[in-house]
Amino acid sequence: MKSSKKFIIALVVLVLLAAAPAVAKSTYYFKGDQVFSIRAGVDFPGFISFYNDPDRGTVTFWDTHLRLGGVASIAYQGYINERLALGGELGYVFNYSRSNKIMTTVPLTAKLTFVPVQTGRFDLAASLNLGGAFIRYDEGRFFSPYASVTITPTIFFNENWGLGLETGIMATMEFYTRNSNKHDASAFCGLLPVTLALSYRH
Amino acid sequence: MKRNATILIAIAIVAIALCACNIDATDGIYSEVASSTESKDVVMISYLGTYGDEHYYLADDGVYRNGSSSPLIANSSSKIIRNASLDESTGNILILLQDRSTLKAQIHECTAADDYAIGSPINDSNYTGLLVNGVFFNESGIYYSPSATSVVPDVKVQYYLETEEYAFFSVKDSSNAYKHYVIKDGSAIISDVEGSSTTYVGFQPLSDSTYVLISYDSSKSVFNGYQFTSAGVGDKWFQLSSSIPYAYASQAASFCFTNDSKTYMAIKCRNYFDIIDVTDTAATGISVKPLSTGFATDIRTTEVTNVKKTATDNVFIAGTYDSLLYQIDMSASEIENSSAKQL
Repeated sequence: MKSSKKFIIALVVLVLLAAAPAVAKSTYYFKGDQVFSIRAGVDFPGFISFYNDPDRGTVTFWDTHLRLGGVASIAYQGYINERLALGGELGYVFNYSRSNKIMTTVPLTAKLTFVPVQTGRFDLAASLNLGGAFIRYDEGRFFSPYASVTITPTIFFNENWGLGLETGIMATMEFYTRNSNKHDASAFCGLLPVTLALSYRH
Repeated sequence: MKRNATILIAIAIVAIALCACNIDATDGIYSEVASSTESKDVVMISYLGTYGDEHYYLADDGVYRNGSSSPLIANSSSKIIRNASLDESTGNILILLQDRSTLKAQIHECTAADDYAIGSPINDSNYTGLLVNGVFFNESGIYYSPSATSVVPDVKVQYYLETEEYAFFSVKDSSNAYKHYVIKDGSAIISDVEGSSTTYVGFQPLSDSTYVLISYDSSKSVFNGYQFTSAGVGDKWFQLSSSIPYAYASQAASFCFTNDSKTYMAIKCRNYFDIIDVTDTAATGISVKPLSTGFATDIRTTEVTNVKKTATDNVFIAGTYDSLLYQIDMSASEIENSSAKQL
């Protein structure tokens, strides 16, 4: 099994495990609570899968020819019930390629966060982002569908402020129709962020 | 509810329309990323050739022997090596040295015996350009070799293109008429062909008498190939699949190879190498096949400065703008199975 698939499966398992305590009866949040968060950190190249080109197939990690990059974002969410928060997120992701050219990704997404563990001092959240991303590299640019799944354990120092460690996978898709001469260049790209997330809630 | 649905549909339409922007990408972005090559922090101007087992190239800070971290012949703060030419039989190097203070540009011969020291210029004349194959020129004519043998006198060079030992010159003669010349090994083998103001950006010899010239058709925004012989420039022969990027190199990089008893021309386009069957020069409407695999995999996204043959048939050395040298091996039975490796 290819390592990118293993990673995705491991991530899904982690998310399911994180969801297990959802049976816990106590909740901290109420409908209408709001959370503003800023995150910044690094992102590792995960995979690039040329799904229409079996010769190239899927390349992983450093074989993607991407270097360690950076990621930052701001997000705003409001709780729609005790465990679910809905909002939006604007991010900025950059990675340099082997030839030292920068690839930038600017995702603009809707963000749904499920918080199965919430003690007041500690949250464990799993988030799903869906939207689009403007991607630019060298002279090429396009708007791509974007999805990410992340998990974030967060410790709150007081009633309002908390610091979390967020990780997961961010995926974009570059697709060309069957009639395009770039059909074989269609690809999924996965990046693995590891960030610190500063949250303010009220 | 109906209003929300309308908003969602509108957002979806906008998103789909924006996704169509993918068509504008020069190549698959992730394809370009995955095939990006290691930058060597050296900006190559041209690959000069081999002497012994060593490869030599001109970078923006001097002439290098491949593998060395410091230049063999270095620029100084006041003098810049603009062009260079390697004599592959002796190892001697001609350089066109520009003096920043006096604006003089003179030819110097740096010999292997003298440890490539920059001595006196070969003469007192100023020159405008020196080609990799040893031809140089100024406003009085075209010359060759350290002895500055006159090849074409009394012409003003408009521009030149070169491939291997061949050089194509577009000049204005004493009556201000455009003329084309092809020079090989210091001799004009095609002379006084009536020219035009058209600027060609690619040049590939097929034989001593037949050449390919590439020019840009601005009315259709395409690059076309033409045959050039002593009779002049012929009709359009083929159309390249995409544009030619030559932001740094002075012309399109190309080379000819043989496969299955056929002769092919490979020319570097934006993100592909176009492969053209040029076996039958009498054929019209020949096909052009863009290639992104095989040897093109690693070098299709970097700018190629020039390509030279080696002593082995169908093996070439390509200089690249920021990834140094690649050896291209076209000896595989299938062109798609050809290869390139970074030296």
